[in-house]
Amino acid sequence: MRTRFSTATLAAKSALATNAVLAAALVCMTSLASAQQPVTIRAGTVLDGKGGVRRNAVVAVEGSRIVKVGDGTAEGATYDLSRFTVLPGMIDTHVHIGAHFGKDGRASTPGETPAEEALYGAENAYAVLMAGFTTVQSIGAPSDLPLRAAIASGRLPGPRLLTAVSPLSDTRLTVEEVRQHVRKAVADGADVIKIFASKSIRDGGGQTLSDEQILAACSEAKTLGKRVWVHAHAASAVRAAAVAGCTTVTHGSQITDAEADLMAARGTFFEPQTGLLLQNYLENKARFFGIGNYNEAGFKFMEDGIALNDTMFKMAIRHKDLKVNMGTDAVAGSHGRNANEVVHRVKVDGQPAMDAIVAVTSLNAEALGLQGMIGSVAPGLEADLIAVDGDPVTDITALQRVVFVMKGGKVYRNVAPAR
Amino acid sequence: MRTRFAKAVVATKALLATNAMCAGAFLCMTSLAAAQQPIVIRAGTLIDGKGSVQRNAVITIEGSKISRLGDRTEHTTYDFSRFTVLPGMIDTHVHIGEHFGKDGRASNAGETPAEQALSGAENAYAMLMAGFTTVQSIGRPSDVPLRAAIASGRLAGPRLLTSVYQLTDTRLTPEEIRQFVRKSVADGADVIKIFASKSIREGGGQTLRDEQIAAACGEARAQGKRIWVHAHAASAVRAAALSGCTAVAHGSQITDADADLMAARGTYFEPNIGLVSQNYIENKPRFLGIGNYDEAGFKFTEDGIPLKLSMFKMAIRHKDLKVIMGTDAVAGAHGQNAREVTYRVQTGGQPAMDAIVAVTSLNAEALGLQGMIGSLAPGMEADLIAVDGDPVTDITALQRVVFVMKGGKVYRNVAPGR
Repeated sequence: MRTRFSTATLAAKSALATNAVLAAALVCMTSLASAQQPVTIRAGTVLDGKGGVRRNAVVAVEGSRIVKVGDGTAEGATYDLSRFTVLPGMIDTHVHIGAHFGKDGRASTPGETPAEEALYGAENAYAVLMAGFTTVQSIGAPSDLPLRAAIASGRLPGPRLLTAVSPLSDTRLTVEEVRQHVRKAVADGADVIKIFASKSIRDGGGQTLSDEQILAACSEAKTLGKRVWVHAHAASAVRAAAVAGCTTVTHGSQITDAEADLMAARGTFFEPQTGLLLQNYLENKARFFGIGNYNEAGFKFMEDGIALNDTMFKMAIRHKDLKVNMGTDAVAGSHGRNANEVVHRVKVDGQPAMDAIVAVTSLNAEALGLQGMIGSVAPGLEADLIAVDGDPVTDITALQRVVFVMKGGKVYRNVAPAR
Repeated sequence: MRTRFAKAVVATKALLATNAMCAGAFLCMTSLAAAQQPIVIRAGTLIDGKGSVQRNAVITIEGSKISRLGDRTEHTTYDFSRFTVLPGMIDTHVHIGEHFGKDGRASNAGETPAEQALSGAENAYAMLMAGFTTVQSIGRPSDVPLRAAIASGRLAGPRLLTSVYQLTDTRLTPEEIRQFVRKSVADGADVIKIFASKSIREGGGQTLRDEQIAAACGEARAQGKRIWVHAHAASAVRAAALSGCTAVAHGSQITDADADLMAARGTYFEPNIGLVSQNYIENKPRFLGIGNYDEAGFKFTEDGIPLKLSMFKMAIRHKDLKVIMGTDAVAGAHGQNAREVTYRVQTGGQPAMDAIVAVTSLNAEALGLQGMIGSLAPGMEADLIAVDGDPVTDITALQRVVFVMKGGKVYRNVAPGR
């Protein structure tokens, strides 16, 4: 018993040390240029990411951080965005940043070199940043690691990148092997643990990992101070994840009110996808068709799944105590269109616009454990700010018209709005 | 439902076909966003890249191209009345893959191909942010996927040309040299690179024989490709000029006679006097101990700075000599490319407008792309930058790039001083 605790303590300490290093890696940016002098942004409207709305504000940035949010009619702002709405840089808690269509236009990329693969990841990163997403969590692949490092160095333009490195899907593992997988992922630099507790929607979504295996993964992750994202469609898998104290259930297409209640009671974050994932598959059918379970049956499941997910989501948001965060599960073809998920939730599923905005900013930051750093516009937080053309509270599609992107105080995008 | 899928399939097939067309073509860019509506830029000063200056100019861009230059407009998309607008700058000689690795050294020990590729992407972004919208990389195979990624429009970087390979083997027969040229071309090279002399760190003496140089440049010409010749020693420079090679890079030991010969033959001359050596010295611990970057090599590099400066001052007295702008940027230099231009003016005494023309339209001509880039005129690609200040009176303005547009797409637009 003592040995296990001391091992766990050592592991936790090293994990914390790693956390510190990784947290530093996430925020560490060469920001020589932004450190020189204060930058002021005049905003017609500021959405603070926590539900607050402020008109005619000035956001002051020094170095990589917001130092002040005040009233402003002062002349001489560095960036005059008075025609636009300023809000926190958006966050996507579930992408596959390396996923792309290869040279032949298809989603499977045999014969591709590691260099080519790395460059596709860099392309996706840039597209996502240009679309106003300043932090994304990639679920995940080992190839995410050099991309995370390149972005964190400040030299490659892209969102702050978190990664799960190596997801767990092998149902034959013993509980001890499950724990070892978690420890290895952490040792390899994972920011988050990913497990597949059910089949893909294309195979019907039934539970795959046993309740014990799910518990082993989520308790080990908790011991190591890591969050766990659990892929779960079937209600039983969702329940097991909530009971096991896992951080987040992603997908949850088959949940009912009972599972929503349970997740709310346990504080489990719930990350459904209703507006981009399946639609992207259908729009790009020719590029996916024939790869693995992307067959006619699989596509049928996905087609049918759109309406089912909408129904599920409408039910889920009736649970006001359920934390519904914003993750797109962006795969090849989706990167850069991440805001489509937010728009669909509001326009089709009827989520109040401000709830959706909070979900893609401060609630997502909380789901990532980074609420002290990103996800809202407030003094002391990182200057991850975007400006959009329009008022997303009254017209959520404004989130698809990003004209300005600042990350860590550095301006990456500043374009005229489309007329 | 089926009809919708059928449409999606057709659209996808069309897109796949477009991807296939764009593969390998460094100019091809997906510019859907830029194609939507005209962009109008008001410029306090416009430098056209060919020597002309216009005050209070208006540039109209449609799609990826400049459609109009004028002086009045109802609507302005970007108001750069406070700035100078000029063509995106061009560097004819970079090593885009070279970088300092995780250990801070130029040797990149233990690096994976993915890490190397991302370093290339970082260098590309740094140069684009510094106002260089086209660069020619001399050159390695890893440039090829980087070129494709940028050409797709998805990776932010300058238009990238590459030599893919560099010929250094002095033992090759002329026929083997021709084969090298053909292989370069077959493997996608935009330009051929040969080393006709040693590195400056080893004294720069001629290495390839005259007939080897002639074989390379003759074959390149037959293949319709330009050829860059690294040559320090005067004899190597002369051989390159006589062989009809496109450009001589470095030329640190040339005299008036060699400058006359290059001018007579139309050879472009690309000295590198303001960045490459200085960058080595500034980063000495990161290079020292790698290959010929030893104390003797650094001595040659240090001594070379004043020698190259004298050579440059001599070279620009030859008004018919086409002196182009290539930095030979290696690890540490990417993003500082404009330093070469500043040095040539402030220290080398080159007239500022000559230097500006060199880094824009003359460079475009050296790359064979003068119909497309390097000057601001209707029909040219909308590769343009805005700088804070007037580079004609203060060349350092080229180091204060506030706006970068490439192919009609805005990549940088920041407040000055940041």
